[in-house]
Amino acid sequence: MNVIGISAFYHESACCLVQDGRLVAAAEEERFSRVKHDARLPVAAFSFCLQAGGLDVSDVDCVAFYESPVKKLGRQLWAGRRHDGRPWLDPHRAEREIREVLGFEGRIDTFEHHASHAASAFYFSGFPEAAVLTVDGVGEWATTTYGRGQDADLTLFEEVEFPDSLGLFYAAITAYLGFRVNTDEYKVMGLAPYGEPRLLAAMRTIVRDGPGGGFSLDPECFDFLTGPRMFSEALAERLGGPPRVAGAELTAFHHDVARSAQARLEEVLLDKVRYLHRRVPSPHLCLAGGVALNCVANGRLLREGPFERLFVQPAAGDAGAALGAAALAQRALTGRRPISHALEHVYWGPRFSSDAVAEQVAALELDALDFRGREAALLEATVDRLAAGRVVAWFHGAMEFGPRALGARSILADPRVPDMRDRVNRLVKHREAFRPFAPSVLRAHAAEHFELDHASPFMLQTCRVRSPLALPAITHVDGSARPQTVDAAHAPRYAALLTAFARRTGCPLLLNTSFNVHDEPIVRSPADALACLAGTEIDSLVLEDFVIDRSALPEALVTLAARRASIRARERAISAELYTFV
Amino acid sequence: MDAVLGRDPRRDACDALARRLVTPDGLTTATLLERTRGAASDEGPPPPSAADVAETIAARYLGDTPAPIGIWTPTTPDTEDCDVAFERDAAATTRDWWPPHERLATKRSLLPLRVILLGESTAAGWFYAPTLTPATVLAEHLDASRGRGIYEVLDLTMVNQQAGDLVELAGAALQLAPDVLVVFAGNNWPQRLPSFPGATPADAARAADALRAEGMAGLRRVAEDATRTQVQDTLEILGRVADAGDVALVVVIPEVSVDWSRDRPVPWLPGDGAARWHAAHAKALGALEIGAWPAAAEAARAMLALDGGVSPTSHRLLGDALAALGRVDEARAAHRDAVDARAWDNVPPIPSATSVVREAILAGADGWDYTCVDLPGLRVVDPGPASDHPLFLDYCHLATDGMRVAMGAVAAAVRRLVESEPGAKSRRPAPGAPMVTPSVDAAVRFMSALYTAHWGEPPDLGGVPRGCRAREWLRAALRAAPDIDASLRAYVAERGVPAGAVLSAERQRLAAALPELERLSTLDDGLDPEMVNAIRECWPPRGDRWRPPSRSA
Repeated sequence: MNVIGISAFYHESACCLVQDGRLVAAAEEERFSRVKHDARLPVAAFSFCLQAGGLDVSDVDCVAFYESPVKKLGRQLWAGRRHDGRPWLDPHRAEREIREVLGFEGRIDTFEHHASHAASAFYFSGFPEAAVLTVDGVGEWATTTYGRGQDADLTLFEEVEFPDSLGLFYAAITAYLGFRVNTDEYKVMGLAPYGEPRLLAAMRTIVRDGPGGGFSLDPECFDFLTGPRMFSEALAERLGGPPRVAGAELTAFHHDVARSAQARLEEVLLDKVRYLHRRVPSPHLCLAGGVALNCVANGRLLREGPFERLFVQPAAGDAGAALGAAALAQRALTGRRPISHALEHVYWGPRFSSDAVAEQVAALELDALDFRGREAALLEATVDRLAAGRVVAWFHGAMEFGPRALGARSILADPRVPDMRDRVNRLVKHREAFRPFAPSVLRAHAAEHFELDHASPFMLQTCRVRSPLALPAITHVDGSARPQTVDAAHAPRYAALLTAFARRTGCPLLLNTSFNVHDEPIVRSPADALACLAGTEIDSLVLEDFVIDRSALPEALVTLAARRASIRARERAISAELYTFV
Repeated sequence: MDAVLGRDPRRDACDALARRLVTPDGLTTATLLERTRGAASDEGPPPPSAADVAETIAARYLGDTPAPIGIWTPTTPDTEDCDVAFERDAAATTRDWWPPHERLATKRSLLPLRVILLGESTAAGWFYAPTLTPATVLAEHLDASRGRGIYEVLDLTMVNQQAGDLVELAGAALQLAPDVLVVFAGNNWPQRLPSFPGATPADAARAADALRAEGMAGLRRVAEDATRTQVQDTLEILGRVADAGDVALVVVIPEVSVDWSRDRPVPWLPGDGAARWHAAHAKALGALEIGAWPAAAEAARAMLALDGGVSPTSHRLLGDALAALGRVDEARAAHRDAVDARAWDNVPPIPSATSVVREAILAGADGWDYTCVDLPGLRVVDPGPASDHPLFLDYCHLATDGMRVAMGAVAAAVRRLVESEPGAKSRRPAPGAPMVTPSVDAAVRFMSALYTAHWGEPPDLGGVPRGCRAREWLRAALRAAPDIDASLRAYVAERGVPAGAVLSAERQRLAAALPELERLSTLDDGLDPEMVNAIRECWPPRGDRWRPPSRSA
């Protein structure tokens, strides 16, 4: 039984393949098209999934689409026509494009947006039963849903409807602080520890408590229904300051806004999680939807909430809903729980053989070190560079699915070096100074360095740093970090690298950030990796079994990469000012 | 669902309506409701008038606070010769911005008189920039006429510029206190067939009505009506903005290549129309191949009768037959009709200033007080890539001689405006003097061959006497500078590298020799056998030429 799951036409389109109840492949379209947040039908990702499963399109039993166009149309009708000239009365678009563009003639099932999110969490959690919470901007009508999962059954019993939405609240604050909607929400999260929650009372009037699972937004403070931006003048007045112009200096006021918004989000989530526990008194909580990417809130839910164990779908945003849709389709077709074990890794994307890499290296006539058949030597060479304080791009195995780089497409560095955060920013990422980087740590050593008593393989929760080592590059201003615990069972080479680094330096951690140029999707292929190396100032690239040092790159290659980067405008698929409603 | 908090009855009604709308008749019902205004209008608030837009632009740029001019941002001047300086944003991508200026500044002195050139890729000097541009050629013309130091020309052109960008940039340019604004644009102005998604529902409804009533010709008419309106509005805005800044305005109507063509099949025709059109097409091509010019003309006219004039192929073939019959003026008119027919649809569009654009610019000159330079009115014939002095690189971009002719006319117009000399003519730089080095010429010709082939001009135009443009450009490149052969070989080698190796050593070598080649966005695409073969044909054959044995022994 071959089931394809698709999310598209909103943000981050993606495709996955579930074969006989097992997840086999998954990837976001933006990694192929190189268009950030590509929302178009994921044609390339679909092609990859077929290839990974050894399938022809005629072998697919069902395509599962992650939202109900009919229900979404109902919400769009209620919200009124946006006069931006975009056609919106097209509820048949998904089916039409799946048939006409993908050439699929078989069964198409659609599932509701939040049901897809819920399934992406529960069915991949490994929990036999659990409470399920989904929180995002908006799906069709729902912005928040409450559910229970039991074996093969998943039921959503309550929801909060648009426009009352924690995701849209956070997006509005993001816009108010001069950042980009749909992209920079995590900057607000990163800024929060610098401020004080002195505007919490004001935030409580903007996001109001409600009975049971309910809450509401003060409509006076928001303009996203009909206006050109997320927030209204009333929000600025309520907070006591004008909106920040993008690029302007961040002041203590802005820090406090971020902190207060984060505090209010956490308050509401905690309250609702406690409510959910009263309805579903399970020790397990599953979480999905874009707001579940707020790892600071997740950490607090686990520490202070009533649930003992938490599973957050690593691809908690819309891309991950493709997994949920596929799981729901599998369940509908077979009557059985589609995926029985917990998602232990996210390495479901394309991989490239060393021979394919060798071909690229030869085509570029690179002076590369060839470690094929000599992994130990490869690791030592990598550790040589990391221990010397260099920034090393690491490309190995199947690409991660979801927004985090977890040792397949990562940029690594020594977290002990005092100025390493600034260095990585300067050489590659060009991020704001207030944003910390995250660490990878060997699972066996995690508790020595973090207040973390369980595996956290997906970088989805924060915890306090308690390391005997000074780790300035990955420790946030409030003493927290967002670690990835690495297990040799799922990432053997990456774990071996950490082990080798620990053996050499006594430090079982590495700074790990995503392998991409600022504002571009994470690299997918060896060609992408080489272009990124040539176009930035990364010191070295470990590309499967090859090591390429920047110092050995031909000048003509660096010149060409720089020229291409300067000529080609970076494409964005979605708005930076307004959430996607159509 | 046990509980849905806060639901009002109107939401249920919207859900019920949505369920009905997704039935086969449902969307038709919704469309009809909109069309009969039974539902809320989908047009939204009316767009601002041209006058309102001009007022907004003028207010934005004629106030006290400096504002960015395209990619140049205000900065503190470091000299005393200006009030405000603007520096080029180093982080701005250069895909669309080719002008050389790192810094712009307001001026305080009367001289030199400041001419600002605005426009699209043609005005930017496509492929020759930054070595040679219409701006530099215009400056040379003005210097040759009046001596150095009287005029300066600032280049604020932008590739891919649309009308909206243009009027905004014209307003922003007022901050530099120009004496003359020269707008050399119009190739990007034709409005295309409403394409979905992107068009409003009202646009789509208008197009559908026209298609039902008039067939494909109706779609073309809708597109051309929209073009006319847009051009008129653009000219009004430019005129009003120039007036607000008390600046003289020159609008240059671009000439395009009537010889460049791209075959495309006819769009949908009812009944067996398409089959009959293709039969007539085959007949026309066959007749041209054997030199049967009257038969070719008759077949082309049959194609036109079937397609209503919407296909550029029909017009072009008629023009080719008429040219072969020596009916030059009629041939030129038919080729001009082909230009008009190639700019209205999206398959994909060929930027060309059509007759609609030209007529609108001519008509607006008095009303909006600008001087019109009508390049098509000069009726200069392009000898084509086989000659040493072509005017065009492709459908609209100018070769060096094209720039010389065009900017000569512009210089004359500027002088008439500024110096009030009704009979002022520009003195050209020495005729025949090369304007670029042979290696630059060769590089541009090679890039033109690639570009024109990647844009779909067929490598072989069959029986048409013109021959293959891409091959002609390649040969012209080798004539200009034989050592361009290394780049041709590098290109062929680069096409054979493993898929995805866009940074291959071959590409690096090619980029080192021809850095401007990276501007060709289609270059990353895969193997293009026609180009590879065309290049191969330019190389001498291997080995000695075989000769038959002598019969004299």
